[in-house]
Amino acid sequence: MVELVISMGSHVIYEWIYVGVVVSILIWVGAEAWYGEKLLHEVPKDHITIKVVGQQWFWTFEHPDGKREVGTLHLKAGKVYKFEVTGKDVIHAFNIPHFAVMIDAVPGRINTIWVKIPEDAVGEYLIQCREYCGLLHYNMRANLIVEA
Amino acid sequence: MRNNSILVVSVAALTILSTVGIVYAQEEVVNRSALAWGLFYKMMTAAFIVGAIVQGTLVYIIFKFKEKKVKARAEISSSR
Amino acid sequence: MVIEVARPRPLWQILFSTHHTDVALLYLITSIVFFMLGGALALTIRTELLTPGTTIIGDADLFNRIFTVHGTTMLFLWILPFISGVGNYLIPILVKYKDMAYPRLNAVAYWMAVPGAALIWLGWSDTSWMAYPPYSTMRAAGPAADMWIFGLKILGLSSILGAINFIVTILKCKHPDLPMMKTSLLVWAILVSSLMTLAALPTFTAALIMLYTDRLGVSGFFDPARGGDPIAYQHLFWFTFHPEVYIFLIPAVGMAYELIPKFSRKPIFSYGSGVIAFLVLSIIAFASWAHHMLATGLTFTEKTVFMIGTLAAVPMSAMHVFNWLATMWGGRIKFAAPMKFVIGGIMLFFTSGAGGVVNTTLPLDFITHDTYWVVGHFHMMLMGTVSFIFMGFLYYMFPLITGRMYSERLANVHFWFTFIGTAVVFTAMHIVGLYGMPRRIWDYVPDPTIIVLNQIASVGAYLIGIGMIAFIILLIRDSVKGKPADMKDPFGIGEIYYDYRRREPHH
Ligand code: HEM
Ligand SMILES: [Cu+2]
Ligand SMILES: [Cu+2]
Repeated sequence: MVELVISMGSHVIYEWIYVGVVVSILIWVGAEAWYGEKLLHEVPKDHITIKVVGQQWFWTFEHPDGKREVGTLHLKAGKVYKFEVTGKDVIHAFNIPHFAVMIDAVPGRINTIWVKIPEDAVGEYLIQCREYCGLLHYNMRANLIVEA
Repeated sequence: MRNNSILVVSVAALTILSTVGIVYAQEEVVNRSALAWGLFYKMMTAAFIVGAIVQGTLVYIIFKFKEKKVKARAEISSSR
Repeated sequence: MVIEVARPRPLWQILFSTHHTDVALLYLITSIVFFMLGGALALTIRTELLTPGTTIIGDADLFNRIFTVHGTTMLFLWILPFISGVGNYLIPILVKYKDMAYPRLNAVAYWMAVPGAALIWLGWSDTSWMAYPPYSTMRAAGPAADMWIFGLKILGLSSILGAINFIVTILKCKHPDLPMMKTSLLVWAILVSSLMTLAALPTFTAALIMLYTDRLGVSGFFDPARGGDPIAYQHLFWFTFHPEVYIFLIPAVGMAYELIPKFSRKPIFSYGSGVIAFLVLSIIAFASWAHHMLATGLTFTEKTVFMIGTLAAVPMSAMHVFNWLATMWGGRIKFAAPMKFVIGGIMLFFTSGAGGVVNTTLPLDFITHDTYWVVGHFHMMLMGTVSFIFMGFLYYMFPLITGRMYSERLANVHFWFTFIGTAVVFTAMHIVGLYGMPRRIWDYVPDPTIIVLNQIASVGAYLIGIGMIAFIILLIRDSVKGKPADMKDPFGIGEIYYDYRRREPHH
């Protein structure tokens, strides 16, 4: 170790300053990320739970009142939703790109993720599978319809 | 070493300040895509600034220290 | 096949030899052949994605098989054998020993790679290179998936044998008058990456057996219906393969350290910090594997820990970049092909590193994970940095291998097409990922932006293709017809070159 330090020579102080800068930037990145994730982690109190099941190669959704939908999901603008996501056969991933919702649908597990649909978000959005799941993975899509 | 601690402290201070700012601005339920994309743009700003410095230095080195420009200093050798 | 000017030998003599330069030559030729084959598959994929709907590949099944074989080939039949090839050529020379420690084991390790490669290319599995269960255990078609499992098993064992050989050669056979701290940083790089191989690889080789028994139905390690857990596989897999990405990178870094001082005609800025960065990284690399699993439902604490582990590895890469730039600073740089590729590699290294930091920045994983962004990230690293430095190093070794000089003009064509192409394809992939395009899809949503970005990516890929054609022509033509090289200092940089007489077997 002593050998190592000596072999680095005297001008190496610049390198340590540089490493200090890099480390500081990374600490900042980590802190920002940690804080953002924390905000997204805690599910708000008033939420509506939707059960989501992925299987080769379609999505099934179940509303709290027991109503089921296949391939289409109707949600209300301005409400907070919690998705309980699981897979039936192989691993899929439940993804709504527009709302940055993304979580794996794993057989034998229930993963949760929540989102608040903004008031002004009325419209149609893409739901897709984002984990490779075989033949028709490319086409494992569903429709999200946000109503007023 | 002193330079380092100054840097670390100032970055930490900036982080805490901006965090405190976010906490007090926080009344509504967060908008996840706004949060994620906001963070993404912040990261991109940092990455492009740092990237410009690194790539700029590299390009500078390429032009400044190419063989033709430094003929006179033929005595340099890589043996340690 | 005559690839040596001074003493041409028949092919069979090289095939059955255990001499380190002969085994090295076999490794290098094999790896380059697979680089080209894997590249052809990549161009097929890019052509299919040129337009929405069917372009040239009739169905998704074939497409899925193609990207699986492409990924597996590039990682295990291009990058790893290339490292073994360079290591075999140079480690004995750089530690001043007559051969590898176990020449026969060395040849065995090479010949194991041959059936491994055959199983992968004859099987055409559709599991993706990660082979996540339950897909790979319950749905993937046999015998392709089984052949893939066995192929990787054999390649893994071959890697372990190679690693043992390198470690023993470096630590036990090094010339007594040559202290470790005076060896080339390439020696350190191969030593560190071999040690990492020994620590990382067994986990995956175990996971492969579990996959296979699960496929046979005699066990349910990864089957929730039998008390197993599919996520357990991902932990085993990434415990091997996150360190493995550094096993790919570190030798490339070592090669850059070998080239940059020579072509800058200056000593390395800080040898010690290079060694420190290697050693520290070899440990920290084991603390970040679950950053590939941030969407699998990890707890908040787990995510935080693995994000910190990932970020902690970044300063080591930054130290190498600093060291390279500081070495070049004030030098007298000769831009021969090896140096061009290394500098191109450093440029793209920053981009991919920054992309990696974004991947691990927690909430951003919701945006980037399993999209083309990730594909852009790791290709920028594996093609843009690792393969670039490899190609540069191959140019540097060209006179050693063939006794001839390559044509700088054609190498220049190769460089510029490949460099521009690489920057274009993988930047476009990053952006199309932000638009939400998932990876591993045969067809995409016909949204105008997504279409255009895919077409830009495909054009970039064709540029690389043109560069590679120049590369192939150069390799074949100049190893047969190139001008005999000045073996003392083929690049005219005032440096002593490797001793070419090593090519002549000692028995
Ligand atoms: C600055 C250093 C790096 C950081 C911070 C980093 C970070 C990451 C992260 C977080 C992911 C997961 C992305 C996701 O799936 O959402 C990833 C993927 C990947 N990285 Fe890196 N990485 C770095 C360097 C490297 C290097 C040096 C290599 C290889 C030489 C590499 C190869 C890969 C590969 C192959 C994948 C994708 C594997 C797959 O899903 O198929 N990365 N990286
Ligand atoms: Cu899928
Ligand atoms: Cu990783």
